[in-house]
Amino acid sequence: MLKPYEAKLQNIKDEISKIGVDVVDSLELSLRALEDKKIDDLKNVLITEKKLLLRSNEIDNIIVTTLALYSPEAKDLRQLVSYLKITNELVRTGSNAKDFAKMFKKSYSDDLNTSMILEYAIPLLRSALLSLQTSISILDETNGKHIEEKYHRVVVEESKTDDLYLMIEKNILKLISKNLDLSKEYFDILSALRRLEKIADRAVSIANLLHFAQVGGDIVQS
Amino acid sequence: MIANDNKTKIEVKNLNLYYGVNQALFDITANLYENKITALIGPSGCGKSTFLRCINRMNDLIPIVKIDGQIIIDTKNIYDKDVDEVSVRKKIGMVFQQPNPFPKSIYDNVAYAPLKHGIVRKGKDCDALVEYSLIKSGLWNEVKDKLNQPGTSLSGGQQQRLCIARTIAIKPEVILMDEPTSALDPISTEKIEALMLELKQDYTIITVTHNMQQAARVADYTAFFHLGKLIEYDETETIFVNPHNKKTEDYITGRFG
Repeated sequence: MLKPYEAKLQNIKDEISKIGVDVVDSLELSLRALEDKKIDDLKNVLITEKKLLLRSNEIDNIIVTTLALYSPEAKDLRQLVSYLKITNELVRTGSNAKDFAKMFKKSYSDDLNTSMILEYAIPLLRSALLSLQTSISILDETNGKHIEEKYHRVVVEESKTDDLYLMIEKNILKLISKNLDLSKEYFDILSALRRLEKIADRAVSIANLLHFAQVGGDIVQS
Repeated sequence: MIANDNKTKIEVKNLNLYYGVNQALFDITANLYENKITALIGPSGCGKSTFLRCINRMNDLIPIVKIDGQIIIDTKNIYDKDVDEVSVRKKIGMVFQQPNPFPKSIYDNVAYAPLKHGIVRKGKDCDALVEYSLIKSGLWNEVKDKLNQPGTSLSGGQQQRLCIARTIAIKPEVILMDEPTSALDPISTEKIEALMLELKQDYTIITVTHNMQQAARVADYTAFFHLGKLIEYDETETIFVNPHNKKTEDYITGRFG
């Protein structure tokens, strides 16, 4: 492929990477807030779906132009199609990261069993973060073996988030049955934590798309 | 007219061309920009090659051709009576569909025109010009040890790059290319396209192509011709992503032509 195509492709990858890094930064900020028990710090998660959408639209338009001008085939085509779908996945992860921070901060209070909530929420957030970080790192990976390894790490972390969410859901339902007055707050906390589980789902989807881009086969989205 | 900050190199105003009583170009008006690649696309017989040949007055060689309108290059209309067509062709090099090296050595192919036009004398200056032209055409490393071999001994793609070197050697300002890769394989085609992108830093390039992907890949601007008329002329990105004219869209998407 010609230099201008390579430059456009690199630009697309760089811009996707930047969005990914912003979402990861937001999750790291949230993780620190939970680990330090400074829940109020969640207000510093400034990422917004609107801003992410603007950026993803820009990337999508570059992808459409690149498809029109360079008629890529094989791996080049798979990459661009994957990137077009990944931008959407990243907007959703960003939206989930923001929703988590907002909802968790709003619902969290000392009236709740905070030690139990944090006991599960922190590893859940850590796994969601790791799954997203790993899936984005596949973007720059060219070694097939490393791609497979990273892909499996994403799947493992996502499966951890499923298990952790089920465990905390079970525990919270028990607490609600004992204290119905706090049911709304507990359900809101569960709803916030559900966002983390969704982030991990999106991370698997991104990993699937990048695996398809690099290795080939069929598009499989979870 | 396209609104942009580019410097106009060639200004075409109300250009009409007739082969006897048959009109082949209708009122073409366009600005072609300096250090840009402009691709001329359209179905066979639409007038794109005819238009290209107007730019270096090649059509003057056909007795029945009559042209009116203006082609202004750097403020001078090349069809003014006081303009000599040979001087126009010195300023505007041309590369053709079939590589057509002279039956001479690689060195002589490049040196012939500059020596003939008195641009250089035999010796170091000429050697330097040959080397420069072959470097610019991306051929030097492949031929530097066999400059005395016939130009025709090279592969098709190499011959075409030799023709480009020959064009560069007369120090033109504009390079016209008439389907420069249609006789080449994909690897040679990619080399020529990469070369075009390099050359536009120093020259204004106008190319005719039947390969729309090639226009999309290399051209900054694209002009779509149909039945002798310039239907649409815009940035290549606009032509290939959001063409304004339905005929252009139908042609780009393969619905006719």
